[in-house]
Amino acid sequence: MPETLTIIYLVYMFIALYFMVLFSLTFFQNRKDFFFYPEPIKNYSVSFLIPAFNREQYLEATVNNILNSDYKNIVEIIIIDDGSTDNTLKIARELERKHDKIRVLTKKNEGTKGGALNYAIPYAKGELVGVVDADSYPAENAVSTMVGFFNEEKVGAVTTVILVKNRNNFLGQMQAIEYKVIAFTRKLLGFLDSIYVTPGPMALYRKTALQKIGGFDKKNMTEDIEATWHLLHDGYDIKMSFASRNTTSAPETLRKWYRQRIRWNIGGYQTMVKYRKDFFKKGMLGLFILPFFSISLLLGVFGLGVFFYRIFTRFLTSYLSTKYSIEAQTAILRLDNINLNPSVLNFLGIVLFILGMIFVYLALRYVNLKTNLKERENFLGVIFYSVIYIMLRPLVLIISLYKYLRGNYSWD
Amino acid sequence: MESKKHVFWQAFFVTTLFFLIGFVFGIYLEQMRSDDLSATFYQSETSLYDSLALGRLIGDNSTSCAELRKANIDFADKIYNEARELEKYDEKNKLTDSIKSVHRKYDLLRTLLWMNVIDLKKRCGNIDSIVYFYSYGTDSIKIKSKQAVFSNVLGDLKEKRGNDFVLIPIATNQDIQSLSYLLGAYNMGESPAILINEKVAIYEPKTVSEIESYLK
Repeated sequence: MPETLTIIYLVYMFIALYFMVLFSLTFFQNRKDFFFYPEPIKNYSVSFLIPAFNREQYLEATVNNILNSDYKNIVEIIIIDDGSTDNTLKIARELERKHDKIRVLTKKNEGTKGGALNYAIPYAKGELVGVVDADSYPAENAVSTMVGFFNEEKVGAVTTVILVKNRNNFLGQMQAIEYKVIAFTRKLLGFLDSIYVTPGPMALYRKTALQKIGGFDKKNMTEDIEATWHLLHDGYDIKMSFASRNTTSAPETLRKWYRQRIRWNIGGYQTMVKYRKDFFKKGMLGLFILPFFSISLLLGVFGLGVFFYRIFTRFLTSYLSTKYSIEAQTAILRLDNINLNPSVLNFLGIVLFILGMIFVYLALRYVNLKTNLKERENFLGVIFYSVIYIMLRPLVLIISLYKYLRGNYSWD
Repeated sequence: MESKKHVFWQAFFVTTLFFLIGFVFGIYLEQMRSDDLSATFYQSETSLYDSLALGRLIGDNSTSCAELRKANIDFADKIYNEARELEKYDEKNKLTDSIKSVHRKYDLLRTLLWMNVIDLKKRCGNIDSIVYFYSYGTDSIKIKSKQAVFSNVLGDLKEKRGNDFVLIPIATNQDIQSLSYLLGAYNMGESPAILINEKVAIYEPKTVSEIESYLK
């Protein structure tokens, strides 16, 4: 009978292999439709909302990008100054003066982006509402390749490929890879009707759907995830246009990265708790998304626990062996102590790692296919991402869980 | 929704298939290792019987104490090296217990060797022996660390003194009745421990020179 730890490894490996196989099958069955986007059956009017808090550096470029869109029925761009203390409002007013389509709303900062959006939704005239972060830059064809998905009445929101703009340091490069893998995975989830987030940097919503769900949850740290689950809960579909592109500014320091990821995770927990009654109920929210999130959380927390337990026991064994070896005046390590015989678990681990690398390679290749950013990821960067960077996630997951349980969080 | 369900089931079926193939392959691999070790064991078993047979011939001057001593020391060295190999496969076998039964057979073989050495000492005298008792498959970090150091120290001693003495490592928790009797007879307590010439018991790792001082 295998040991307990062996059984745990095998369970983990089975689950990891299952998702790998699921995504692979989904990819092969749908690869011809990856870049497909329907032509719109009508000329949807689009209102853009840009919530801005202290975004003086980026706001103008964001607005210009929207103005340069090849979609001709953007009826307005509403900038919501959320109590900025820098020149954001001044820049917004100048843009309002220059362009008829631009309107500026001001409000007192309530501490959440959802609050700013909810303030502006009633002012939006368009049938579709685009939400763009004030440091995100939609590509010229971003909107035109998204609107067609609203031909289906049930579609409540459409998301796009979000890419990292600032890749000048190592952290930026890691996030660039990460965002591409996320985009690829999200498209695959789209084929399974299981898109679980319409990311804040850019998303298009059907205005009536947004109004039906009462806008964004102001108390949620990730109003984009909550809005998506709310739409799913109410029977709407979420689609993704893989042909559409949007670049955004990612955190440039580890501290900012860390705070962002804590916020994301806490928002995830808040949303899971809010929709916990939908577990195993009809629809992909209950049958896949909620279990997927929960299993990920469980595996992450438990796996990290096992990992630290193994590290701790190895450390303790090394410490004691060293102590006894010194007392006995013998070598701490001998050549014949090194055991390179592989076990079956080693083989399985290697197979999974290789499959993971293939997945990352596919993701990067597909996203890069139609991206104008002239970039290619280097091999060492991809290895570092696959081995080291993704190991940070379970750690942040646990810290986030701790903060969430203590109620110790705020929007950053 | 209906059209999506099939891919989840397909993925489950494919994953289960891969897993089962992997599992069967893993068991096959571990069984192959175990079979290789069993084959080596049978050869060692034969060598022991040969040594036992030699011992029975000492009474009629067909063989000398020197020959017997050499046969036992050589045999002990052989199974000591096989034990180190066994240990390496032990750690890596995760799915089956097949190596555990080989391990137990080796411990019985080593117990018989020890009994043979005791018998030889009575007839020929002047043979140094160190029996190293350890716990097999323990989870205790303290015991594992001590055992690792005992193993290294005895390895150093073996390199230094070569065939001057018989070194016999035996796991004490393999449910071998004859071994339990011997342990009781020599008042051996917990393991890990070493018993030098059936007289001196050492329970904490010592230096090579300290252990050497007890040999003749």
